Amino acid sequence: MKLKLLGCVCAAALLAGCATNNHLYQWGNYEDTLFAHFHEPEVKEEMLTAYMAFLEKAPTKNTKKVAPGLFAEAGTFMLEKGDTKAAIRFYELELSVWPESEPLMSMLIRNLNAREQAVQEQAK
Amino acid sequence: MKKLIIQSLFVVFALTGCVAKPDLSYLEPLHERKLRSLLIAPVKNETIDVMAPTSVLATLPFSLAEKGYYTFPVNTVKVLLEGEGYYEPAEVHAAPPESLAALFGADAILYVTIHEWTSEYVLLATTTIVDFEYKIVDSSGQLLWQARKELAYSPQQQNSTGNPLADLVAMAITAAIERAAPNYLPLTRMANGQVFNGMETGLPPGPYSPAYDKYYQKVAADAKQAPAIN
Repeated sequence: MKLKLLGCVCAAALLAGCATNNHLYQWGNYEDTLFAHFHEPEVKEEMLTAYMAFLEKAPTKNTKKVAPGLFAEAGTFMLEKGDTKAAIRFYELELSVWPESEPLMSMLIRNLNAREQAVQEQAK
Repeated sequence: MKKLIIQSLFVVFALTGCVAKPDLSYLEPLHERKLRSLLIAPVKNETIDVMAPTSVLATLPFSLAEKGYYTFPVNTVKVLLEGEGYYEPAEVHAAPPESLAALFGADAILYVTIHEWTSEYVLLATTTIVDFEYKIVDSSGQLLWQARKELAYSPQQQNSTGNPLADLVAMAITAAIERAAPNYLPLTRMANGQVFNGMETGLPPGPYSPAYDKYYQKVAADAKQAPAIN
């Protein structure tokens, strides 16, 4: 009986081992999103929606960090859709998590803010 | 008895001779630079498959970031370079690495070239072949590291049922599946994994790796223990 129980515990431990990975980071569906973006226009939107949902949930869900570059990519996807404000927000997120991204993110944020301002002044 | 001891000593010597340390001198430039960030340049294509370069590009961040390096967002970088007029990866590869690294604030650039990306249907079995060349150049333009990897994959050739006719049918089916969806991506991931982690090409851990501190402590200790002779 004891042996049977032990067997169950071992099996459970093994299964639990399968469920978690030993990756450093959370990646969500990043690779698939890139593929769809490059090659599969018919599922591009669907992938992107899932990707954005992953990024919204990821920081609260797990102790692992979101992988480097992923917030910045979301920024660029948003920029492509014409949502400058969301783009700036994601570039700022990337910057706050990864100091190595500072030169690039600062440049992007500065340029986008300048563009936003120019648009607003034109509207006045 | 004495003879036996001497003999066994010889055996021991012979064995230690066999496990000679692999040549790790290729790591020295990387140890010296201790890179934090890597800019993955758009992948250069020397094949006719137009999907190859972006497919490879999409697989690269995972293997490098998981080694502990900050990897720049590959699609963002691609879009920005196109904005600067660099539409062809070959043009990016030909541009001075110093200015490219400066533009993004990267410590170094990874250049990958695809030499082969084919799926050949030969005698009922499809063989998929990839061949990649990898180079890391630092922000001063110095080549720090390079590697080349060719891998081939043929599905289920060893899975014999013992019945030659059944085998033929099974092979024809797998070949058809393989032709429709070639195993480029698993093969590409395997090539990346082997190059970045394997013997004699593996990269040292980056600063976000939990192994980083211990690794460089060991590098420092080894350097003290065996001062360079040359």
